[in-house]
Amino acid sequence: MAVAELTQKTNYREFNVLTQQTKSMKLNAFNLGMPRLWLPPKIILIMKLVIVILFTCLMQVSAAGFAQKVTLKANNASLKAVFSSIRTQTGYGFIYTSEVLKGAKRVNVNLKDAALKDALEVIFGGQPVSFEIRDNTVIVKDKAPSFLERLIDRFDNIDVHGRVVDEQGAPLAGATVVVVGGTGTKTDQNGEFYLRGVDEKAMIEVSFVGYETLTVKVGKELPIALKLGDSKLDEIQVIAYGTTTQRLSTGNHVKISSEDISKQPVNNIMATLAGRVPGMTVNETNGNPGASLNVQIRGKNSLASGTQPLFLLDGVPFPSSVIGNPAYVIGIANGGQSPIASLNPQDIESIEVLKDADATAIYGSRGANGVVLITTKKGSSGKTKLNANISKGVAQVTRMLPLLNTQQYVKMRKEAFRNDNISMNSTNAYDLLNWDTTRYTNWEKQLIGGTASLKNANVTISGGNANTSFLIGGSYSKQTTVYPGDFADTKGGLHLNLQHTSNDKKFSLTFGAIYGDNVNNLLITDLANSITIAPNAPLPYDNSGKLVWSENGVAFSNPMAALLQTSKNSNENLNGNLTMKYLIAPGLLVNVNSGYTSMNVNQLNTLPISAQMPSTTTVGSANYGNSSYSNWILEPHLNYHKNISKGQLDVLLGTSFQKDLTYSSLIKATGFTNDALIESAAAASTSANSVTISTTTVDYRYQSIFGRANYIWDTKYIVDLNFRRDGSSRFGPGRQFGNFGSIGSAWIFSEEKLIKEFAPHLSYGKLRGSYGITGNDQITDYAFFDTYSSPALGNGLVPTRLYNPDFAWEKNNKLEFALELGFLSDRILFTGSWFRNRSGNQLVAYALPGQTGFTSYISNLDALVQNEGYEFTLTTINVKNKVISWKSDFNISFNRNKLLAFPDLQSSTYANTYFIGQSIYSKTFFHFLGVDPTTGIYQFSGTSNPKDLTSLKDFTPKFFGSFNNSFSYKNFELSIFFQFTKQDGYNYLANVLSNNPGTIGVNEPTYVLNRWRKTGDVANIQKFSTSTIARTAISNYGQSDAVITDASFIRLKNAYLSYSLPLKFVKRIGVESIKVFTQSQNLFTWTKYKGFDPETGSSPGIYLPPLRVFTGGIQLSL
Amino acid sequence: MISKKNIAHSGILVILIIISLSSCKKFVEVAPPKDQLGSKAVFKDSVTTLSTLTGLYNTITLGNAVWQANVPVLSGFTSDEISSSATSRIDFQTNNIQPSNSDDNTLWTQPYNYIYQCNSIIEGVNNSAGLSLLAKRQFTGEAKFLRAYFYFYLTNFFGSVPLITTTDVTINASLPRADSVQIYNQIVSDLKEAQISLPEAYATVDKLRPNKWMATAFLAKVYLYLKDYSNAEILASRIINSGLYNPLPNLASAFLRTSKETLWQLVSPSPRIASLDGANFVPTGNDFIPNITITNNLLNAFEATDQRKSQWLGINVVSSQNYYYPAKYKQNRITAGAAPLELQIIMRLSEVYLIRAEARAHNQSEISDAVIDINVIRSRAGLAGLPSNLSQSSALAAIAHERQVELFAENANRWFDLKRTGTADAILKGIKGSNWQATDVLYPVPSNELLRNSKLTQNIGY
Repeated sequence: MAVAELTQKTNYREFNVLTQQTKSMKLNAFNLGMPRLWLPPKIILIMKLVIVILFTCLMQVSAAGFAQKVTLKANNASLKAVFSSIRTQTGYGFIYTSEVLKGAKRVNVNLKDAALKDALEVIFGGQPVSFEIRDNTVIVKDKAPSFLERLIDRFDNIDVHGRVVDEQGAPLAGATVVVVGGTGTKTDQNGEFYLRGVDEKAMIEVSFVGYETLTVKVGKELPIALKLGDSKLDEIQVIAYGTTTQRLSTGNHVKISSEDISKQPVNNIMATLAGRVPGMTVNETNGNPGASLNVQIRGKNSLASGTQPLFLLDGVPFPSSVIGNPAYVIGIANGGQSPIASLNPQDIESIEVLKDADATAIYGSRGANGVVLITTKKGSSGKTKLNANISKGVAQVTRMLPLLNTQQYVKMRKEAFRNDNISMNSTNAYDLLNWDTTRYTNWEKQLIGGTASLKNANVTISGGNANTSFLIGGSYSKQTTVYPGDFADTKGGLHLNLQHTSNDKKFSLTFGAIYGDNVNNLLITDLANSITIAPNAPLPYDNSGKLVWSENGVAFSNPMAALLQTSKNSNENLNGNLTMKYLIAPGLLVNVNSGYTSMNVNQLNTLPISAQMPSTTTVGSANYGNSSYSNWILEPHLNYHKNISKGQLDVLLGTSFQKDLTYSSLIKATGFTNDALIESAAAASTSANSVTISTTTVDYRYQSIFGRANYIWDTKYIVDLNFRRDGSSRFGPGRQFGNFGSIGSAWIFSEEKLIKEFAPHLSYGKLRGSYGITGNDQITDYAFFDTYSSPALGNGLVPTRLYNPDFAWEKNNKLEFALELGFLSDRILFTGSWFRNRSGNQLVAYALPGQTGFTSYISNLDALVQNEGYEFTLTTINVKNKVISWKSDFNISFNRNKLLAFPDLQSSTYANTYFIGQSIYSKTFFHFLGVDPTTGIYQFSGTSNPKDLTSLKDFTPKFFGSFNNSFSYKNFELSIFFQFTKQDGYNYLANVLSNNPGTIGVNEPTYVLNRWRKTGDVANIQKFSTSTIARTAISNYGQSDAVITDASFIRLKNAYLSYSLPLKFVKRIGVESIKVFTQSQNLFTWTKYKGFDPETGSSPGIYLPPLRVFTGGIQLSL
Repeated sequence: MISKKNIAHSGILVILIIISLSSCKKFVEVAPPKDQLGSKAVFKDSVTTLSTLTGLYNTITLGNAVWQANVPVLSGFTSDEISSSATSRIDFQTNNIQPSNSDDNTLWTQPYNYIYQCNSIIEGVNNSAGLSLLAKRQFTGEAKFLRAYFYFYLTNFFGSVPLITTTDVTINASLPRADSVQIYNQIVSDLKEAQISLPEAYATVDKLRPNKWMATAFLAKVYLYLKDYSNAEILASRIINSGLYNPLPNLASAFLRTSKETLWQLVSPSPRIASLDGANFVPTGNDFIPNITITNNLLNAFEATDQRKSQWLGINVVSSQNYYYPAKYKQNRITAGAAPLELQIIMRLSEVYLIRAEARAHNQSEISDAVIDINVIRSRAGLAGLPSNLSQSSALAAIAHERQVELFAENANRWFDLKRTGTADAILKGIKGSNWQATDVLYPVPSNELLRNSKLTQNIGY
């Protein structure tokens, strides 16, 4: 909200300028007068605004005396009559409206040769109106704020000079200093303020957001130290193109501070948000370092196009998914390196999640799925400080899948043969006949049972003077894996931030740059995939340490071969942003944001000869991928701020240009006869087809105009309007532009006198609501072009796609109402919100039957998807005194997803995918009826596809949230964070269902031991068998509701304990502070879920589960 | 204070905004990416038009798991020719294919993608302003030949299938299954047009693109399937009488790249693949059980002195047990840099002889001629000729046997033969026992397709 931007810390300079100009205007008031309108018409609009401000200032200071004399005697005369008499005597005209004079009292005076001004003062004394003299005119108006009088009065009083500092003695710039019942000012860069002409007996009140307000008696020199306050309501929150506070905001945004972020030993900053933001789900896709997270705000709005929120790093769009054309991205065990994982959590000041229309509509077409603003740390002026943070730790898989041992496995296999009544031979039973049936390898432990190590080091230096401040940081982190062998994700980074303000405070700039280099040499494949190898399979290495490939004539696909496949993912990114602000005129700020992001991804994966079964091949091969992404953005905009009556108006008007360019190339080389040279494509064979190179470029452009108007009346009533018109190159001619906007309003009812009287414990109460339209353009580029392209390998041209020139924006209507309450001086804060998002004109990769030649094409669907939900948060300060403090945060979210409309669903290709009135997360399954006690085979109510897919399962979490408690006792600090989710998910059976228990070479979880054995058995697992009927049944089983179970969990997600060394001690060794700490993540999980981890249960398959992490470290400030 | 400078600044800003508003349309208009070519530009001349055909050939032969490579393998499993211990392949061997089977899915969806390409080429060429009439005729003929080729396999695997002859997605997406008579009418008409339009000479030394003779041979095969024996015989004779493809080379050379009897063969763009069948059937070493082995049924079908058994089958001995695999092609992977010695043959003269033999055998008066044709094939295999006085049923049985051992593991011939001659049920029941159902002659329509096109129906038995 722009109001806040101007009033809060970040932009206090504009206000200083206002005060200064007021001073200088006083001196020039007589000879300046009105500026004449000589301007060219184009500038008039802005100039008018400027003039209005100036005019107001002039009005208030030009009331010096005039020497005209007035003689007047009036008894119960009307004001009008009095004016008429004075006009005759002096020649001065009067300007007024009859409206103004409505409440005027009759006049009784007796004046003789009085100066005009004195006469008027007598006449206007006790009237509800006041006057002003300008040129030869007296302007009559509603009684102005008594500012004028105070201005005049102040010459009789003392001048005050003060300096406001924080508990550490650092200056607080932008603090509000108000004479109780009188004027006010703000502190400057050095925390200093001047108040002229203050009554000697007056009290002054000093306040600063986030600090406790202090009231002191005036004095000529006033040193003031403020204590940190508790109210979350006044914390600065970053929003679109500005800042606000929870108190004054009309929208729904949640801030996660650096404190919460740095407590969590995670690789990806997004993981720190899990459970902390109501309405937002953050799921780890697997436990490999660098993995991307599934982030969703308020459910899935779109049937098919992207559901990712928009990410902005210091205002610059940041790619959230693996960059480059997916066809050119080389596989890696973590499912693709997430660019966000390359950001260092220690560099982040805050993450703000914007949810409703009011908060997101100004991002127009990209706001539909919510917006995540990532703000990096900035330097602060004052003493040069050094902060260092070093930690080390270990990590292990949270939950293992219990698998059969050899004895059980062999028994299972033999039972299958008995059940099927077939005899064993070396084809169907090589594992029993050719392999040692007493040997046991716990593959799960071998492959993913290791301990990963984590190292993290971070140093920042910050400081500056009144005009310039800086921050320079460097970081390094390394996380190894739970796999055998030496694999790691290593990150190094530099962070620079500079802020400068000119001496006249009119110009300021902020420059930030982040450079990150993330090298990940993870495996190409997730070894968790191989844990079901037969437990009696050959040992992976022979006595000489070589890979074993066969035993007794039976080939063995050795999982350890994957360790020899080099994989390198180097992700180098540079993000720079520069913001320049210039105060053209009081209240009118021109602002130019610009940013540049550059990312380079270099990938290599190899298949050396040594990693391949010697009998199958004799040559190595390698893939070399290279993607570079660059993005620039330029956003000039104007901010205008004006106090109108008891309110403050803020207007924002701007335009945005963005261009993304992605270039990807992929080299595939084969025919290496020597593993040593495999990283050099030139060493591949010379055959024409042994090295193939393919390239692609993507040019994405974006252009918008946007505006916002915000008006806050008396800090009680707030209205906020947003508008944006967006154009995106992803749409064909005539379809590129869309209009988006919102209206938001709030009523801070606790400011009403009545409420204050009747509910004294209610310290804060606000009702707010918003409605608006946002959009979504997350589709592939160029989908509207009818083109041919060359396939990845070989010559020739093939149709690129089924094109559709006519698709357009997906639109999302958002409605929200919320109630916010604070009790006992905001020690208890409650927020309850209800929202309803409806997304229409669905942009989908419309699934097509293969007979059309393709499986999909991009198209708009007239379907309407609704997400509706409630979110509640409760923050309490349970205990707070000098020794102990205890704070709790609780939040819970309920979200229901529903397909409201879908014209012609039955005849569409989605007839069996979506259902009106049901969640779009739903999926249909065969209904499982258990194991037939006679045949021992799974039974279903029907297995004909699709008519028997009758069992509908909804994967939307029923509710989710978190409960956090932070304690501090003397120098100790402890926080314990629980996360919970109530949901359904794929169970362990979905992970292993492709083969029926008893299948050759496939191990099974111990749960399968509860199988059918003989006629009459009631079991939940069918008989061990490899028969056709059993295989058909297991295939149907995988499509049945039997694989869906409760995947709810409560997890002790994070625990943090720290101890700060006593100040006395640390000061003695010349250090400002020393803190030692331990952090742990995913400590315990309470769940009934059978299988790996309930969090990765949202899709079938085996993935490395999230890791349990313990770290310890030290934090030091100099 | 307001200075002229400040006013100038704000003026510049206002102008900037105004300019940006007026220029935004241009800013968000992008050119097609450099790696793509607009379809109008593609059909401007014969060089790029030819690229679309090259693209199509490359698509169907890219790797050893695409449609063209799957056809002999999967059909070999469902008939009685080959087997594999790989669990993913068991459903085909036991004729228990699930509608969700991914291989089944590719057998349906991939040819439709190729058909889209054919239709797109036919339309693009037709609308082209830059191509000569002759070029238009040739390109159209080739695209139509290929369209017929894909429909032939689609209808033989799945029965009646939707008949797609345009690129219009709004029509195509909801077309129901067309009657197989309709499909064959389309195939015959496309092949006839190809026969007229295609040149007699091959465009390349390696016979990589079909010519008039290939179109004729394939039409003969289609007539045989339609039991139009007289037309099948007439067309087959034209090819044999042209003398371009005889005499049959010896067994060892029949599948070489330079084999004279080849009518059409395909080259794979994959770097290390020679023929697709070689890549799939030939094991990479001799000390383990091959992925795909010959069934005893096929092995026992060979006469004792049949040289095809020793020349076209390979053996791996593991634990003193013999494992036979199809070895018509010898190259599994080629050494990088070396030119392939073998390419994937789609049709060769010996099949034309067998088409003619069968067409003749259906005519009582031509049985002796049929035997002459059979004996051409037998003599190359080192077998004694059959007597010319065979009864019609013996002649047809001899032809069926000869097709089994001559054309095994080639282009789904065995599977289609069992089906079209009505013997599938009797023969496969005996081999596969209770796994075999009469309805297994058709593969299931993939479940995805049923989900996405509600007008489609499943084949009986699934």
